[in-house]
Amino acid sequence: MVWAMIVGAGLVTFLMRFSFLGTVNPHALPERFRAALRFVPPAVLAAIVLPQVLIRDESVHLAPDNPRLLAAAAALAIAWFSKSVVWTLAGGMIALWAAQWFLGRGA
Amino acid sequence: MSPPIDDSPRARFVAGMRVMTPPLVGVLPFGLVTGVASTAAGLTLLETMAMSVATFSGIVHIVAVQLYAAGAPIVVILLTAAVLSLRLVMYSAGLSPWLAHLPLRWKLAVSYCLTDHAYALSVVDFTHHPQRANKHWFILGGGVLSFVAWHVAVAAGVLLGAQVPPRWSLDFSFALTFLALLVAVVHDRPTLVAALVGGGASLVTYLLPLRLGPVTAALAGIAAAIVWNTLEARWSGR
Repeated sequence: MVWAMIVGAGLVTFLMRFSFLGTVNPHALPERFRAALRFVPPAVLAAIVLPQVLIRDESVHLAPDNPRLLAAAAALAIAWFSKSVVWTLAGGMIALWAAQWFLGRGA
Repeated sequence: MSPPIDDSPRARFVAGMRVMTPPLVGVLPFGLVTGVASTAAGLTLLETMAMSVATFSGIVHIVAVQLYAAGAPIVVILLTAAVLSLRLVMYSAGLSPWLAHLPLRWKLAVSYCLTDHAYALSVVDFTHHPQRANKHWFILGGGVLSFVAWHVAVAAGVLLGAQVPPRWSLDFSFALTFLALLVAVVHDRPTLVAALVGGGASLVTYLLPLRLGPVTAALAGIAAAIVWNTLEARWSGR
């Protein structure tokens, strides 16, 4: 099963890269399709990030006692101003540890 | 007097490596995170490295192994991987006019190297120097460097992930990495709509069976942005 995933995911990803380089004439790509592809990264990334921040034990936690929500808010601000993955990663982890420590003491 | 332009395969290969070097600073932590995530999902070092070589994509790797750990069927994992790597179609289409003349084996090699950074760096170089030869060697140089660096980082992440206790919440680093990437790709109203709807939908679709939540939410976000873009064009055209 794990090897089926490895081979399958590898094949799918490679075929996406090979799609236009390998086959179709790029000038045949409709403008509307090209425009729609631009929306894939924001939609995909948001759909992955939000559940990891807000969903715990199969339910949504939107209250400020969720340390991941507080850390994500801090990381969002850092990402916005720094435009850096490294700083977002470092600042977000420190914010999470601080929030966990703080909320843990109050509980 | 500018020095004579060297368009030999070797010079272009080295040039490709040189431009790929600065972005590696941002890529290496992501590789570490990928190795940690893969270990947390229960993959061995061998399975993680095989997955990494097969996909050569951190996002596909992390999300696929998380779905796998959650017991998703293989069809759902592959469907999600397809949506996650849809942007690579855009890259493939973007570079193909410059590379259409190449023989098949070169197209296969260049396709494998086509990461986010390889695309961005190549487009800049090819647009500014359209007359320069051996563009495929340029992509290959950057590709080889990022391949080596990426897999070293993933392997280091596996070794690190096995050491760190769960209370450090290192799994949160995946969310943070994606958050940083998300901020970088939201740059106008339609992309903001895609992110808001995709993210909002994910808070409902996680209830769907078979771990179909992420792929459904992403498609909802893409559809919403297309509708928004169409309406905006219509309003401004009035």
